[in-house]
Amino acid sequence: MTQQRSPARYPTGGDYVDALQLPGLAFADPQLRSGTVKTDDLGMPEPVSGNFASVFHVYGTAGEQWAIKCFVRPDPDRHRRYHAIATALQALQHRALVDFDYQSDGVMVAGVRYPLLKMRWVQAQGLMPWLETQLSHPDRLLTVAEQFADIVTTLETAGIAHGDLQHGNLLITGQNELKLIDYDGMYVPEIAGLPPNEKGLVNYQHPRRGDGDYGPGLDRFSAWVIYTSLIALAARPDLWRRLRATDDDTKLLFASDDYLDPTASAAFQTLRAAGPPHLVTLADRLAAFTRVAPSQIPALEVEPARVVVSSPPAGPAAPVTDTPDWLADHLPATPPADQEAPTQTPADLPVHSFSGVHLTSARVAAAGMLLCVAGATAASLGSAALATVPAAVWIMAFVTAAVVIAGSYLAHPLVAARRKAHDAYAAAQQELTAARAQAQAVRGTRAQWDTTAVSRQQALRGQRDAAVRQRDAATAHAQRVLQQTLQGIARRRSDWSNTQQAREHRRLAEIAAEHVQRALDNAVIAKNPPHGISAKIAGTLAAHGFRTAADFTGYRTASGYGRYDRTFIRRTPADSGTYVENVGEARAQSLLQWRESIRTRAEIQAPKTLTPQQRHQVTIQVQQLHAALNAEENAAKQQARTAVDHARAVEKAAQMAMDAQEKQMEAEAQDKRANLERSIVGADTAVDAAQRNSEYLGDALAPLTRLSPTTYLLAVVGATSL
Amino acid sequence: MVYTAEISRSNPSCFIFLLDQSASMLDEVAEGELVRRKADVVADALNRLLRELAIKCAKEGGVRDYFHVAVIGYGVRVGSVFEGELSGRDLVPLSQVAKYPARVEERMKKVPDGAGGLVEQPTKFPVWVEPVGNHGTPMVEALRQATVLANTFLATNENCFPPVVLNLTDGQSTDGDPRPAAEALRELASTDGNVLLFNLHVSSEGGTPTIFPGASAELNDEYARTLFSMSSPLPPHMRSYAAQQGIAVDDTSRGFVYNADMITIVQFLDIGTRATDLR
Repeated sequence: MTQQRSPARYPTGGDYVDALQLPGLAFADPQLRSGTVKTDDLGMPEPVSGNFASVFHVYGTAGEQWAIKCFVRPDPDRHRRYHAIATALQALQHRALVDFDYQSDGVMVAGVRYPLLKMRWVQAQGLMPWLETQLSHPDRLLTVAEQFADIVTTLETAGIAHGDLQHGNLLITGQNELKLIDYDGMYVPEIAGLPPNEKGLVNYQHPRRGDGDYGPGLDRFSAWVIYTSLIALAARPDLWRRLRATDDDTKLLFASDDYLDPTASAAFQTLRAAGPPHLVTLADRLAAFTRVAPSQIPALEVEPARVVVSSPPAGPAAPVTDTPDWLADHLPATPPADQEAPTQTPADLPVHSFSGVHLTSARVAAAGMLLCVAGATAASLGSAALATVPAAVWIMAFVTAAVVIAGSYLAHPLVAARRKAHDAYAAAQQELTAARAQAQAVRGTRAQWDTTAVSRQQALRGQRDAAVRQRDAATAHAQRVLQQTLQGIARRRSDWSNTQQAREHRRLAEIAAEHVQRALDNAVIAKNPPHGISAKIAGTLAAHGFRTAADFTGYRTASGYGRYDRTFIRRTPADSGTYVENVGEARAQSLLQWRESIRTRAEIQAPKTLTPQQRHQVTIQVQQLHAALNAEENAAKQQARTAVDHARAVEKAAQMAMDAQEKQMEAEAQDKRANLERSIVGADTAVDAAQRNSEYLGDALAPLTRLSPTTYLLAVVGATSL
Repeated sequence: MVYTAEISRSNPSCFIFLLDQSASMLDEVAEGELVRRKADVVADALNRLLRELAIKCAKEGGVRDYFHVAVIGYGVRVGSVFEGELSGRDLVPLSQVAKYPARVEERMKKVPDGAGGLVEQPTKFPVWVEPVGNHGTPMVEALRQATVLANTFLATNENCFPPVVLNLTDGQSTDGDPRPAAEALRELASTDGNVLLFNLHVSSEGGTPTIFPGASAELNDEYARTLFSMSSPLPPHMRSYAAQQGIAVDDTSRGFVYNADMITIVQFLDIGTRATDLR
């Protein structure tokens, strides 16, 4: 490599793209060496660049991801700076801050080692694209504003300043968590003596920020700018379009010009006019800050903003009020849980046992049965005392007694209770199943609805992109048309025939031709007859219309086929000629020679230069031509500008219409979501109630299930307690 | 306020490269041990520059259209050198330039392995501009086309950082005196200043380059004086950037390099396309 003339040459973004195609060779860090660098469509490492560095996305082998920052400008104090910054930030342990690992020999480019910063990859969006999609969520904007105020205050308290607070250095994660990145321009007390190494994005900086302001209060103005913008957007999302072009990636709501003269600034005026009082206050404060020295600006205060939150952000879990109408029909008619839910525990439940008149009659029957068994046995054995009654009668009596026992069992009130409890329990079980199904159905509805909402959002995003594409296509078309027109105009303008010189030349030729023509007109044949033309012949010629040298241009002689040839005098080179009596070829030739001599003399005598007046006329003509071309050019440009302005206006109108649509969609979505959340809570409550009811009935049934025919018989015979 | 306009997506600027493709561009030039054709050196430098531009403008979500770029070749014909997807187009938004090189070359590069040795590794390199050389040097027509392009761009970007035209040549114009065409080009202006025309003369002689000469410069060559008179003064931010690179410049320095060698070509392109800070 030949780099002898620029010893301070630092690798460019392109040099890093080359080097990082081979991470195993480029990196020093073992994790990075075995990692993969994210590539673009062409298969080359894909950077995200700032003014100081390019950042690459590296995937580790175990699923880790890092952001690797490679510097494109030298800074002799870099090591010291980052060491001090790392120490200071680690002490803060703030969740908006991102840990980094400064590796002073982390990356090798063309054989030379350079430092890098290794950071854990934060899955997040820049503030700008995040805002694009979140304008209809003022609650989220306020959350971010709060987090922003919190990290700013934390840094301020620690005597630290970021140095370049701006939208590009604020990331928002999927959970709406704010991350502050890019600490290259940071001030920490430990490096107080070092010079500042950047000035910060101009649209966020105080008009009088100077190198002397590098210190703990460095962020104050930009903090107010960002905070005011976020609060303003939360209150009036329409400001996003009113104060910015769609593609503007240089500012939130304020630009450097606004700070130079806030009274003339559309941004400040619009903010004040837009106004909820808290916004006017914030705007006025910011305007006032532009007029004082940066060092006199106070630290960011959140108090005035607290007033801002006009409508409390809708929490995800809205309090349960009532069941929406559409759901009420579908819910099991279980009483609300807390009102009538059974509170008895199994311990309180009565211990059921057989007793009362049923058991007594059963016992009598049982005694009878025993007697019958004894009688029948005796009869069959021929016992004298009992043989008077035949065995068949004993048996009948036994059966009767058995029937009595069975009847007493079935008629026992406890047995009836058991049956009832069993039925109630089964019903409760069914209800529970139904309630569960319902809860699941409502959740399904919500999931389905969430999907719909997401796809509606995506569709809207697609429409927004289409509007931008349409604008770009219209702009490109207008430019193409303009380019073609300008090309044509440029050709005409540079055409030699349109130059003063060419025009003068042409004018002179015209004048000479006029001069010759005049001489021919003035040469009357009769007055100055050529050789061989008598007055009589001149009269004949005149009678045929040949009076002057200008009346003829030539002649032709036609063969007479053995008789006399005939000569015809031509008025123009193209006509077939006119026969004139007594004018043969000799006279015709004489006439022509006479004409030529007049012409030649006239040509010699013709003016060879233009008079100043004639030249001036040509100048005016040329000027007129250029004026006409200029007018044509301006008209073409105006037409293109009109077309482009129109395309932009159309796109902006479309965006605003979609903003309104999105706002409405979001309002509907919030209603719907709240509604569904309530339904889910309602359904869950119903499930709980059904569950408790079923458990209660189950508990009630449990002791009754012990009342089986066997236990009854045992009770009858006295084997169990009464 | 001149040459301070902020360059952004909503207020982009443009670069127009004019590339001499005359027959003499195929002449070889020695630089130390390396012997290469001028056309190769210039094409390589331009390809690198286009990539650097794209990388500088690479942000979250891809390359941003901070610039529109045209590369107009002049030799056997005068017109855009873009090929493939961009074929036939002249001023192209940078994101599309980045996306559609004519091809991606895989070069075997000797890379130091960090342990004193060299390893040969394939490295991808996008190519937009091919080395070409034949016929004359129709510089006037090239300047005229640049004028139309700049004029078109300015019509709808009235407040932009003015278009920068970088003319890379190795010989004298064969279609007339280029000075009036250059003047017409430099007369175009946005509200931020006039179009900037920088000229670079590629030498095959191997003499000492004259970089960004000012009023006091002694140019003993008529041709050098012509190119010098065609060149715009360097705006302040480019001057200070050049000074940072160790190049002696003063208030009268013009965007002109005479007898450029390989390194100077890269430097010229780097400084000449140095924008005010990008967003």
